[in-house]
Amino acid sequence: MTSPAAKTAQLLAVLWERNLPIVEERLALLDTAVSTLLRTATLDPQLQIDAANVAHKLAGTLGMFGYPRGTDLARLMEEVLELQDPLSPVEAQQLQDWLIELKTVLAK
Amino acid sequence: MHKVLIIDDEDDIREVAALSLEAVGGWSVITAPSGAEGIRMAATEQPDAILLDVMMPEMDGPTTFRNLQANPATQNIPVLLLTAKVQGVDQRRFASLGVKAVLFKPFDPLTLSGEMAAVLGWTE
Repeated sequence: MTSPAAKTAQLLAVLWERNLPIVEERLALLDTAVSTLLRTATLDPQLQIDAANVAHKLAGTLGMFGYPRGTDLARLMEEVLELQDPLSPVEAQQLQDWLIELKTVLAK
Repeated sequence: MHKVLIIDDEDDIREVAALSLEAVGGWSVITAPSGAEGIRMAATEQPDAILLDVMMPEMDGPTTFRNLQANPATQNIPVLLLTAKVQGVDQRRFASLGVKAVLFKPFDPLTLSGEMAAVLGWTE
């Protein structure tokens, strides 16, 4: 007989697969924001808000699917994207590094 | 069997929380994708507890909670806030609303029901 924990783990795996398109959509938006920032040194305010929102959502969900490092990285990105001052080249590079690591973590 | 209402605009959070509370907690779960829908369901379904997301479009968690408190039909239902905000200032602000507890995202699906049961005093 399957234990509740084993059953939950199995169903979580199914839910993760089903939600992958949403995760990929969120990563794509972060990609757009970070690449725009690196290329132009500016970020449209609405795009920055949207990027902060998807980083927040990723931070809140990745850990429950077994990606605690993903939550940490998304949270770091959210904190920078929520800054009111224009983002510096150093912060832009940080965002890029975290995004690359996040994609690597999720690809495992 | 306890009945819990989950109010969250994110499909994946609602699905995982429902799975967790049903499969691990053995509870009955109903869900709502918005504060307005959650308020309506709380009044008609009379759940034993509400798990309420903080950040939602249109009506956020704190506003939803205040509406639940203003209605005699729902004011005694314990509410647990669910948030991905980890900064202390946010936590204190949410706790001061008068909710039963503030829980954090991401939650562990295997322990969420246990955390809720401890807060709510549900022992069985």
